[in-house]
Amino acid sequence: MNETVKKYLKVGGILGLIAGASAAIICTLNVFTEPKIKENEFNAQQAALAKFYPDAKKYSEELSLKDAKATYVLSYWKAFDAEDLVIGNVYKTSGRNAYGAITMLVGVSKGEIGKIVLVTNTETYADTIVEEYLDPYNKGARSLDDTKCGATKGAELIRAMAKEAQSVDERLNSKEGQ
Amino acid sequence: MSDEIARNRHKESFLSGIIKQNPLFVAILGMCPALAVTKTFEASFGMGLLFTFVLVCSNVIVSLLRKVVPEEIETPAHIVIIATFVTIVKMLTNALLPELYSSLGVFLSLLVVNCIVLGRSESFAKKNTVFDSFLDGVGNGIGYTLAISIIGIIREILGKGSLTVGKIFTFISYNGSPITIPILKNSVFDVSMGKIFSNPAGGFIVMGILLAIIAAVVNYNKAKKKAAAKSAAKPAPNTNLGGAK
Repeated sequence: MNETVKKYLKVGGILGLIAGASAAIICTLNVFTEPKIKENEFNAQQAALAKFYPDAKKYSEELSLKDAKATYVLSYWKAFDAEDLVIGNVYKTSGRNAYGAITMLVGVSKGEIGKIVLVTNTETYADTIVEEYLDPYNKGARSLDDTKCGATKGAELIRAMAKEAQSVDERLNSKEGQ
Repeated sequence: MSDEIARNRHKESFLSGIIKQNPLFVAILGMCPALAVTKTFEASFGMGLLFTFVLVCSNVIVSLLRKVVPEEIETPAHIVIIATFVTIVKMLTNALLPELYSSLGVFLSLLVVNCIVLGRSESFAKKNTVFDSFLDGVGNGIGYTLAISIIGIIREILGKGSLTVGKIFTFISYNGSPITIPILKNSVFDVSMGKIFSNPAGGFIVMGILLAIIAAVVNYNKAKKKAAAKSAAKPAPNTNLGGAK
C-alpha cells in the first residue's frame, strides 16, 4: 500500500469516525426527544381542533383520506353537534415551499372555508403569516385571496392548502350524498 | 509571571467577544438571523442562548480534536461537529420549548452555516486550548446575545408599543398568561407609526442606527485619545523669555 492511499484511508477514517459519533449522539437523543415532540404535536393539534366549532360536542377519530387528487390534505375529523349531526369537517393539511413547511387545520362547513389554524410552521417569516394574514383572516378582516402580507409565498401556500381542503370536502359530500 | 500571562490570555479570550470584537456590532457577522428573528425580545434572547450553546460546544470539541483532525478535512470536520450541535439544539428546543422552535423557524437550522460559529472554529478553536476556546465561545455568545437582544427590545417596543415576556418562555407567566408591559401604548409615538419596526425593513433601520451610534462613540474616543497623545508629545513652552545665561 503506497503512502497516498494510506493517507486517504486515514483522512477518510477520521472523518467517518467523527460522522459516526455524531450520528450515534443524534440517534440516542432522538430516542428521548421524539416521544415528547410527538406529544407536543398531538397537544397542539387537539388544542387547535377545539377552536373550530364552538357548538361541537365531539369529534370523530382522525379519518384517513383516500383522494388521489389531494396533494396537501392528509386526513380529517368530523365535528358532531349535541344531536350527533355532522356540523362540519376539519382537514389536516401539510405543504412545503422554498422557505419551509406548514401543517395546518382547515375547517370547512357547508362547502365554505371557515377557521384556519396553524399546527406547525417552519417558514422563514412564520410570525408574519400569523399576524398579517391568518389572524386578520380568522377575524374576518382579510380575504383568503388577499395574500400580499409580507410573507406572500407562505400565504399563497396556505390559500392553496385551504382551497384544496374545500374541494376535497365537496367531493366527500357528493360521495356521501350518493 | 507565566500564570499572569495565562490569566490575561483567558481574560482576553472571554472579554474580546463581548465588546471589543463583538461579532454583530463590530465584526458585522451573523446579520441574517440578527435581522430576521429580532422582531421580539424573547425570540432574540432565545436565539442568543441557542447560538451560545452551539458556539461553546463546537469550539470545545474542535479544540479537543485539533491535534487529531488532519488539515485536509478541517472544514468538513468542523461543519459535521457544528451540524451535530445544531441538530441537538433543534431536537431539544422542539421537545422542551416548542414555541421558541416555531418562532425561530428555519434560522435555527441555518446556524450550521453561521459565519460566526464557523469563523470561531476556524480562526480560534483549532489553534487554542480547550479552556481558551470555551471562554472564547462564552464571550462571543454573550456578545451576540446582548447585541440581538438590544435590537429585539428596540424593535418590539417601537413596533408593538409594548414588551412581552412569557409568550415563548411559557414558564414565565402571570396567572397563566404572558406578562405584557405597555411602554408606548397611548403615547404620542403611536404604534401605527412604528409598525415598520415589526417588519424586516425595521431590522435594517434599527441595526443601522445602532451601528451609527457605535461608530460615533468609537470615533469620539479615538479623537480624544489622539488629542491627549498630541498634547503629551508637545514640548513644554519655554518660560525663560529674558534669555539670561
